[in-house]
Amino acid sequence: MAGKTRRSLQSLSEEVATNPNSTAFVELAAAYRERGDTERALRLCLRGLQRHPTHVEAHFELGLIYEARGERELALDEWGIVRQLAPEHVGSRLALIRLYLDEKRYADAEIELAAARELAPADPAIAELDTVLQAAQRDTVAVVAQAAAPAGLFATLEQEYPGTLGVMLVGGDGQLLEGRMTRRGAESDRMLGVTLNGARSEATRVASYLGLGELQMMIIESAVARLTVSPVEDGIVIVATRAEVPAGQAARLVQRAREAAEVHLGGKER
Amino acid sequence: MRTQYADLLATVMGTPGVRGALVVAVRDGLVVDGRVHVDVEGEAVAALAASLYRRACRATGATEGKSRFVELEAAEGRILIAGNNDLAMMAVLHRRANPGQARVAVQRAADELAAIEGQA
Repeated sequence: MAGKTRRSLQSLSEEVATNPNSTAFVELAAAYRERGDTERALRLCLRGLQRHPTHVEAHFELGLIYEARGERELALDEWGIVRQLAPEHVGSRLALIRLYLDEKRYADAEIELAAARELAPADPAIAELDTVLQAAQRDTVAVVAQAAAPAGLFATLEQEYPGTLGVMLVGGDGQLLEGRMTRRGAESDRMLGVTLNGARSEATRVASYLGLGELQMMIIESAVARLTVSPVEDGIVIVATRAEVPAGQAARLVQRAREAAEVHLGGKER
Repeated sequence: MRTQYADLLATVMGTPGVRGALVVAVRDGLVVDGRVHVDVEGEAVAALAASLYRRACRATGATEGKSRFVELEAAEGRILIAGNNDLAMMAVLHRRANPGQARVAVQRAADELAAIEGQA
């Protein structure tokens, strides 16, 4: 492999030396970069770009050189230029995603990933990066939820009422404030909070439009579980019980959870 | 015009405090059949409540074909919805209605509704 690189270097160097208009400088710069000679690679690439300022691969390579030198912002600039010159350039998108992931800029990574997926849906590198992104996001959400949701507030209730699957307090912005659902991951708890917060808003509109007055509660039952959503200040308390728990007992649990949430929120305000 | 749902609707409407009973197509929120008191806007209830029902089912990861029950409780009354992904039985309750009794009536009606649809 090393021999091949040397041979390539020689022939590429000759071509660049004999023909200043050649675009072989891109390959030559890549070869220098791969050998760790980023100084020479950088000079070569910058010089080549003076003659070929819109050469997509040259800008991409320059980004890789900057990245190798630890100059991330400059790398981002170059790949940004590639994105403008050639929106279909998958390589620059992948490079951007890797860099964003490295910097924990998951929202930016997600946007680039969606664009890359549209360009090359079957590219295994995209699927791989998607997996990395999802795992990273899960970890982040778990850490945030863990910090934000000490089980203490509703822990006693869950012990007092058998058949309780979980109790959560969700803020008006859909953020999980307290509690968790037993046997559910932090991310699914967060998603449940966000979607039920949306359902609560819709239920409020429905009740108002139909002249039913202020929303007090929403109950959703399936064959296995009963979810009760009740507004508390600008947030909601979500209580999940097994379906076989008598409705009256579930209603008492909901009432206790609401009281605990009101005290908690009132205490925070003070 | 008497439809195959007339008896079901009559049973639900016979429950004390029920002001309206509707069979509703869940996907588009249109009334298939219904009986309502004059002060109840049947079509508005169907459209809005079906939308809420769909959202609630999505939020809780409803599986296609599985039955669900959704209850909206407000200061001046309640809406009960029971059904599957195709058809649902809805009831509008006065605030003084007995919710337990109405729930049983609506859930039974929804079971019978599913049975009728299964035969069709």
